[in-house]
Amino acid sequence: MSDFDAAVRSELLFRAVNERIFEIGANDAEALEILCECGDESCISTVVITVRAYERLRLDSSRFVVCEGHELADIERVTERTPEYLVVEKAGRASEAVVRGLADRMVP
Amino acid sequence: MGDDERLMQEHGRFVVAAARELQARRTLVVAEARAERRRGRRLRDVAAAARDRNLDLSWRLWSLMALPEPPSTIPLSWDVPRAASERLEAACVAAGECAEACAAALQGADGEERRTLASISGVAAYAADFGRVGDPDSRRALSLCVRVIESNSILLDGLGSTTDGALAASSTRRCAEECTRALAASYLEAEG
Repeated sequence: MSDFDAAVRSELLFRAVNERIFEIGANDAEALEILCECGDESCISTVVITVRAYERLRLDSSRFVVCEGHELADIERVTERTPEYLVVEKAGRASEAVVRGLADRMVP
Repeated sequence: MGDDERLMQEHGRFVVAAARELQARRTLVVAEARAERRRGRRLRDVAAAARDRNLDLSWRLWSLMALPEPPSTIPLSWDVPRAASERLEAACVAAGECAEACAAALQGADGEERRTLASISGVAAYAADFGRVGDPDSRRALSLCVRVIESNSILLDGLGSTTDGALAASSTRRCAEECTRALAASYLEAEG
């Protein structure tokens, strides 16, 4: 598996976990603590994000939330910057890989 | 200002100062108790390992006829090694229980505690489901689960004040242990 594929795989894993965190924790909560959705498989950084911001983020499948400094400039661009986190958008090949990965992903 | 009022104010200030001092002392005592609890767990593990070694040596002595009677129990390490798939199943069960216990503890929690419990519950639920499906990525999910639980160990140690919190904390520890064993068994099986 190439570094690129591994990174996309990690990002999708983190996102899938975050969707679970949202399902479990969003009720009656203003904010959630989710995992950084970067491409580093060993990352365990977390991000505090409001439920509304997370819902908005999930409307676009090519967007991921990462900690400052965890963005990969060659495959994604920063679309939003907050003191807590960055929102990055996949571009080109990375965007296609995400769509492919989401289609292949076996979500139980 | 009358004497009574001044007295009352002085008394109020004294009470506030005493409360602050007590609060600071309580924080210290709680931190010490948590550290002691962690130390206790480590010592318990060391004691279990020593007892296991002792039993193993007793069995060897008996086999050399140096002891008249065999020991009444066998060391834990003699347990039949379980296959990686069995370990994975046990880890998934523990992760599922952990997810449920943390979700149940959300009711009485708020702030950082609540966010962390929801976070662990989500990770554990994901790990449980991925393992059950038998996905090749299950190892990554279990590993993530262990890392997230371990990174929050200090907060989890402080959850003992409510029943749900204590149950959640103990289920996270069990989950991390089972996931670690499943990962170790899986790597050993892959290597050998």
